[in-house]
Amino acid sequence: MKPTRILLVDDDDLILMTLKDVMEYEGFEVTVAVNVPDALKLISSNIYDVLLSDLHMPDAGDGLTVVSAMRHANPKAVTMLLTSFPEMDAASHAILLQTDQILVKPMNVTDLIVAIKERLAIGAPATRIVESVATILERATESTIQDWFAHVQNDEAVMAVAMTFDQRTSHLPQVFVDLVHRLRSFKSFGSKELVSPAAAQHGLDRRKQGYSAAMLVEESRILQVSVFHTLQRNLARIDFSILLTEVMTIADEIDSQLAQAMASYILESVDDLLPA
Amino acid sequence: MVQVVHESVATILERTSSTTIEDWYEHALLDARLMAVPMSRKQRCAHLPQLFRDLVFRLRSPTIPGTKELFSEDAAEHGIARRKQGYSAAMMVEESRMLQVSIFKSLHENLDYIALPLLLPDVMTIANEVDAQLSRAVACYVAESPSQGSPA
Repeated sequence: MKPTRILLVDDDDLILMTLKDVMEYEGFEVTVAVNVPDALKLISSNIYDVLLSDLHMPDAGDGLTVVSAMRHANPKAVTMLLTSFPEMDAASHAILLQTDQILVKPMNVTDLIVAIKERLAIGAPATRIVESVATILERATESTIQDWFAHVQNDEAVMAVAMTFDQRTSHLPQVFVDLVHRLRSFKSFGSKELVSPAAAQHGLDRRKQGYSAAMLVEESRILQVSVFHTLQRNLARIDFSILLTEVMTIADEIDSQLAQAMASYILESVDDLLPA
Repeated sequence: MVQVVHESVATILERTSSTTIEDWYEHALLDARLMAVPMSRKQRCAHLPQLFRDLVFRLRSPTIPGTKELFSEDAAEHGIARRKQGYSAAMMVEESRMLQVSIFKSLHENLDYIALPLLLPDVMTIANEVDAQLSRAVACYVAESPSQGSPA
């Protein structure tokens, strides 16, 4: 029977070598990495049955990057994270969406070996489908628009302006196209390079349809909430290590589109350029 | 293993509010449209300390993302003040967008101190609260001058 191949990742040499010795004694074939880049190189060029990685090496969430790489390279590998961070209990649900097991330090080596063997006995985890946030937004555009419309219908101020579903939502498919484009273009936060003619047109349309500037802002806020709801519903499919950056990008892009819509909305009325 | 001292997002925002406001102000200085309305630094930044207190309070309150339960009188006053100072609604939106960018920058600079999985709901709360305050401010801005707030 072939020995179980395990990749150990930890930035503490002492922990790494101690674990290596004990695991080899237990019959595992052990490879070690002391940092994320080394781990990523090994994952891309070798096949492992188990990944056991520290969560913080030294940056928060480094272990998730390694787990994410393993999930992409070898979805059948068992992945386990070690952490000494006490708040991880509260966060464990979210982390478990990415990894198979969280082990909290301090943990004696015998218990660790037992945990690994038990996890291996369960067998290969069900293959997880991992999607980018952009892909999820593309796929869930229609349902997110429906969610947005349901929220808007509860807003008396916005609903005071009578409109059909098509009129109310006609700008949104393009907003989603722009959002997806922005997510895939890796522009920095605050970047105003991606100009959206559709956002400007939306501002003009809303003016003609009878919206106030406040309604325009509120509609945009509700859109952000609906997009975040969609992400929360798809959390299990998302690569957690890049999710934060993408959420920030979404918030930035929605506000950027609002700024462009508002600018054209105001240009439509000279009065608004002349405050009291 | 390096021991990392973890902080909540609320605590980080409290600790970094001054530098974040400074970063925001530097961005505002580069925006020709905002600068077309002359204002002292104090006037430009007057609303921000309270906005940060509201954000921290919101982050520490167990509210559901997307709710508008926390009604900010200061956001309303900010909208009225900006109208009197000569801002357009578009300038207010741009100012708010810049604030969000500065806050996210601060969080990025402090990622070492944040538990990543705990950060996501907090980022969503921040984005929602900043937009909720903007929504309230613009509503009051518009109400301050019905003829200017009404659509054509």
